[in-house]
Amino acid sequence: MPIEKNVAMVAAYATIQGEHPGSTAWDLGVQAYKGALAQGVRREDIDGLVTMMSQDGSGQMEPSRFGQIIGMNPKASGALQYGGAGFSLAYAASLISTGQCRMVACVYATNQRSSGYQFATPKDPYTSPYGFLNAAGFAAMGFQRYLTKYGLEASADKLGAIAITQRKNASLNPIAYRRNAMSWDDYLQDRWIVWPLRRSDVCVISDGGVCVILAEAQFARDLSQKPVFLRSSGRQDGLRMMENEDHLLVPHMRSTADQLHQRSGIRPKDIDALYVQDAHSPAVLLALENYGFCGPGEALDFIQDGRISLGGELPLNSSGGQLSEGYMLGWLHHVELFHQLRGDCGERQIPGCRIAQFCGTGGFREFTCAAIYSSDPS
Amino acid sequence: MSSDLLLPRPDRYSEPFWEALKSSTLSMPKCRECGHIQYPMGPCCSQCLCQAFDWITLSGRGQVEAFVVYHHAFDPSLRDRVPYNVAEVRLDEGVRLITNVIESDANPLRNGLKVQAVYEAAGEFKLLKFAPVAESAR
Repeated sequence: MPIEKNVAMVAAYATIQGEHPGSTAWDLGVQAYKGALAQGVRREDIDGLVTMMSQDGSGQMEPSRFGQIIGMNPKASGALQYGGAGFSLAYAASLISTGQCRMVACVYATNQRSSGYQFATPKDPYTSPYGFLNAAGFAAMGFQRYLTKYGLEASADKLGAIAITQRKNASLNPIAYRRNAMSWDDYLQDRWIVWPLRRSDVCVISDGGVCVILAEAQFARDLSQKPVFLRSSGRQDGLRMMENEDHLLVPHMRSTADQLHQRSGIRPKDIDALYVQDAHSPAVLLALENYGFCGPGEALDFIQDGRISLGGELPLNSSGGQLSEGYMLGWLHHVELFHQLRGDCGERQIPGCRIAQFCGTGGFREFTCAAIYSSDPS
Repeated sequence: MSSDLLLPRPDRYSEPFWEALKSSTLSMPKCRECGHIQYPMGPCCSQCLCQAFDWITLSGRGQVEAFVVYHHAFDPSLRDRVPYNVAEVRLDEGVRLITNVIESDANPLRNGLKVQAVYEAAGEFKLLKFAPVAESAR
């Protein structure tokens, strides 16, 4: 049985994003875990633990220590070596679908902002001598390649619709880090980080914690909550990296899209809310095109004129995303889609939101994943 | 962090590459079975898994496939260098690599720009960089 047929999300909580000086990642992880439990989950029902470790190399949120901290003897526990909520939740879902666990708490937390962690550290001894540091450089090069491939150099500024739309969404989200208004003028006058990307096109760095709890679907329904059901998923890695043709445009994402669509029959036109893990705004363009929301080379036009805003045809990153809400590698996107599908989102609620899609990437995009969640089990 | 970040870190697979650069030669391992040029270097050919290579000298010619300009110094040692470009160059032999291009007013950086290897001292090493070539030189 495919994993998506018997897995549901039963709770999702995020701490306030931003600066938590004096808090460790462990502190924030405990806060997030308690916040999720308070949504109606009994602690004794949780029999699995998946964490994602802080990216700063501090060892914080290492799963066995975190399990010890929260006093848990789970059937299974672990963490993936690489980051991203989509990957961690897929791991948790597989623990459930294979019968190893019935309810898995998934937790990520970091104090990377307050601890002053520098994200420059490269992994690649072939590229760092040339100053090719930080994932922003890779994203910028992908965007430059994209613009040239489709002859869109003169339209590059249209990218601003993503940062501006998401900032407006964040202004309606009390836990978001950046909530001040951003106009087109603000965007266009913003400084370059790595041309052709401006500061506003690159994620914020924030402290915070998130907990998402997954459960076997029937068990989730028995708990008399409003679970949100996992309806489809996909995953494709491109570990050959630079040896892949056109690798800057993440061609393996197309395979993830095919899996996502084939396993559910749910199509782009059925999606009420889209969540793209947005370390940099061009990630949205790649997702829109590879997942079939628009054709190749069309995404810069697709995102204009309010189409991706809360009242638009395809609301994008309704909580502000990593560009404005906080840098939690896709975890906040899942908290938001859970509450949107339950209708809990107040003034930023998307009317009639029943089906939501998440699109994630990891590393320097050598990993891609996607999932579809719905308020209906089938 | 120090400027060591910007120095090559040879390992047992890449050492011949960095050693050849010291004498301004571009050398890469060619698979003895299938002829694939392996970059980045590793213990085997990524195409056929053969573990035997012959080191060959490459033309050093290629073209720019994409480029960016860093305005933010992600490491303190780069503060004097910004703004600087980073480019992806595809060598005529098919290998893609990340590098810097020495721009000239006559040949501003653009995708498709034809370039030729140049060798720039960096501590005890040399870095493989590229400079534009005139079309007539090809």
